[in-house]
Amino acid sequence: MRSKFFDFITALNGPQTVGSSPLYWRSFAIVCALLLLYPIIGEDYAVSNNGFLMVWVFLGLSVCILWGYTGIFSFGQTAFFGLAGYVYGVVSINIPPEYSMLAAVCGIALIMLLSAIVGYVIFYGGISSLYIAIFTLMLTLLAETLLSRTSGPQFRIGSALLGGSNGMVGIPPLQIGSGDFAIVFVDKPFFWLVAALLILVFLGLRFLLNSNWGYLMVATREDPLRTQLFGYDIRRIQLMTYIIAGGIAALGGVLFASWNNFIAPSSMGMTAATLPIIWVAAGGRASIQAVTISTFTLQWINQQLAYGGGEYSLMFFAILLLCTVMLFPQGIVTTIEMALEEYLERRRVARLEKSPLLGGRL
Amino acid sequence: MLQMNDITSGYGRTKVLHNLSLSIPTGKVTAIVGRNGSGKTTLIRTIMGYNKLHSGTISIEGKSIERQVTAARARAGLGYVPQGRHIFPDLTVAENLEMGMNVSSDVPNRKLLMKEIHAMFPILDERRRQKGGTMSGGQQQMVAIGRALVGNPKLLLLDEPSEGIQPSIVGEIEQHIVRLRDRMGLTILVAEQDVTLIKTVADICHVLDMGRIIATLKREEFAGTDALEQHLAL
Amino acid sequence: MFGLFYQILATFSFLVLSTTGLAIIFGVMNIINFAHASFIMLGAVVTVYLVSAANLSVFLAIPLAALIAAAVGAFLEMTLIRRLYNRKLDCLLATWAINIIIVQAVFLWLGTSQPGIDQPFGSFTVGDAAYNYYELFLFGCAALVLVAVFLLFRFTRFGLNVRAAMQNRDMAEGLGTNTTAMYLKTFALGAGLAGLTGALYAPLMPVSPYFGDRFLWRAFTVLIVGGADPLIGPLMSSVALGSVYGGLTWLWDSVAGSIGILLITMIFIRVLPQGFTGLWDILRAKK
Repeated sequence: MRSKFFDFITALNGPQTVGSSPLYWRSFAIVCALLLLYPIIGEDYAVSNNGFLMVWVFLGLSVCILWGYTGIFSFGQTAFFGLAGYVYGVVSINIPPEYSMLAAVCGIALIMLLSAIVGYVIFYGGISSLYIAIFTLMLTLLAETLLSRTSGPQFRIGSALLGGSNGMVGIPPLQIGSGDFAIVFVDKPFFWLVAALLILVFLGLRFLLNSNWGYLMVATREDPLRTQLFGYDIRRIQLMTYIIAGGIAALGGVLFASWNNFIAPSSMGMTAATLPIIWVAAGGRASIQAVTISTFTLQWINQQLAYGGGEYSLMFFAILLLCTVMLFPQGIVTTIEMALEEYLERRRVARLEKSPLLGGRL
Repeated sequence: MLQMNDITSGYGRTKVLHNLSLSIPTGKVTAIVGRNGSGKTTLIRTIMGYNKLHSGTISIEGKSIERQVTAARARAGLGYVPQGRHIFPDLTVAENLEMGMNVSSDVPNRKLLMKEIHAMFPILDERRRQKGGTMSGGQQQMVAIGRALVGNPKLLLLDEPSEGIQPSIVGEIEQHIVRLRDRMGLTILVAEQDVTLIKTVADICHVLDMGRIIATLKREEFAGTDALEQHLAL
Repeated sequence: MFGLFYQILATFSFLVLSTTGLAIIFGVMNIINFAHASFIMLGAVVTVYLVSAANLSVFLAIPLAALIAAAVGAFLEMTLIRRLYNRKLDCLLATWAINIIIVQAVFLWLGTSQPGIDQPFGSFTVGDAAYNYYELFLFGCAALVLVAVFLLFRFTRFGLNVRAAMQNRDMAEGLGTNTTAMYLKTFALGAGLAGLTGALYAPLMPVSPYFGDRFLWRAFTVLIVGGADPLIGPLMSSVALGSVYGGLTWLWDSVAGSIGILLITMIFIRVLPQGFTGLWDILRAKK
């Protein structure tokens, strides 16, 4: 039993992710425990809001595993996020609320299918990396433009009105069970749902990234030609990663629509597409941990700035992006992490040197 | 003419040349010979400024150039004929030559210089409108040398001029090098693997191995002997 | 029928003017300059203020605005852009950030809507529709820009240096060409052309900090469909996309035109990534 547990931890460790010592995992466990305990002591509004802030992390992770780990710079994840929200909205409005989980599954599955198709066009069509950025940007713009033109009562699916640029309203929250035994995921239950899903996705990604597949992703990023010459079909690697990223973004979109009870084309606009790039660039594109921290922090800052009169928030983020690119190309969080690791390593070496085993004096 | 002192340079953090010192006398053909990987090309690229110095100094006629960028060094009098020639493929021969004029706007005897160059390489006039990329290796070599000469350089740097060129043309190139030294009094530095070429044209030869000069031979020591081959076999 | 012709002409001018600055920077330095939109906007904003506040003739304001945009571009190149030539994606992100910063700065300082200025020429009618002489003037400007760029690249020393550096920057350096100064001038030229575009279109459209956006993404489509050549690219691509957009707009509306352009661009990315430049190269090689 103990060895199975250690095997499990080992599978989660590797060069692709930060932190693998027992100290790290103890801290990780504490953070998770705090996360799950927080709603018990927090007040409803703050808990609900923080739950909402965590939803964006899925979008950030989606961009991160593509850009940081596989070298695919995709603007399209925002579109998948938004479209998943739309699908969830359409399905959940049309079916009884106790089946809303089915709507969520629909949203995620359909978007994964869409990302498979888009990914196929991109990777099996040999679109080169810079063009992927522009191609996916245009796709996002296309989606936003088309959906903005759906105002008017004729644009409906079942009883769900698409709503044009004003968006779709009246989206019910996620719910399990019916009637008196229903758990409706709002406020605190929502937070627990998001937190649990986030921990699961995070650990799942750690497992994936440190597995052979993770090595292939990084190999594709570092040197696609050499990876191919080793006999790997990088198009398949890229496509599979793209689908997984699409699924994660979709999960975020569903949660977003559930909390907001609303989804609009602006969730897929230029500004919306910019933000995930900034979260990932500022955090540290090659680290899911850095991205998790930076996404939550930056979206929190975004909210605070919006309260003070939102005109400065865009400027703030643009300056942040510029500073990151010019001064911290590895990402701010990653730079801090690296400095921390260096510090801990020096302390460890210093302590070793004092150890009597190695001839030092205590 | 050119003095290199205690040069250490390479690529990034990898060092290729180690504490190398070299003096290139005016009006003579100096050769650097060595096997693949010995650092010949790195030496020339270091003189031109493509490889940054870790330490050491370089000066032309007493003026130090190690802090200058490549373009400034070219303007200081270095004529560069790189390994592989690097003719601008989509520019015509005439345009390639014109690029050589960027080095200085006033060359005192420009017309005379051009006459000499065209006389030496008639191909430059015959094919002036032909795109550089469509020419053979030997023809490109003529254009590359002509292009470097147009700027009236003090020192001509030839990096592996015989590489990828058919043997009959190599003989022509040997003739050109000798003529450049004798008729135009040009100082020339040649980095080569082809020992025969060196023995034909060089006045002084330095043997390079693993980034250090392991031997220096004067013409009377290597012409007609296999002293060079012996040093290279080490 | 004249309406269709006029629409295509107008679109062609718009696309050529929007794109040439961007295409020059992309063709020479191989970077995508997202700040292009802000240069266009600066050209428009400076023009409207010079005309309405300083009472300058619009024909004087336009070249002045272009010069100011060029100066801003030169400043940005010297301080930021030149460090990023080897990092293409970072350059894209940095110029994107700069774009937002400049736009937001103008927004915060000057507000949303800016003074409007009138078109200098009048209008004429064909059939029962009215058209502007100014659009014909713009066509003339577009043609002039293309000719000027051609002459610059083919017949000047600067143009020769640029073409050489595009093929082999290191060798150009080895022959004494100061490519750093050259890149500075090229970037300033691209910025200046963008500013010129903004200035030229200021009398036609309401000016706001977001003025440049509608030019930017269309310029990208022209760039992609056109390919890397700074002359052939915008020229052939503007003709093609101009016809598509003009036709679709005339048949339905401008949104249909926009969607048409987006789709064609996405097809080109997939099928003909080198754009018209690639097609042109293939045809030349076959000769």
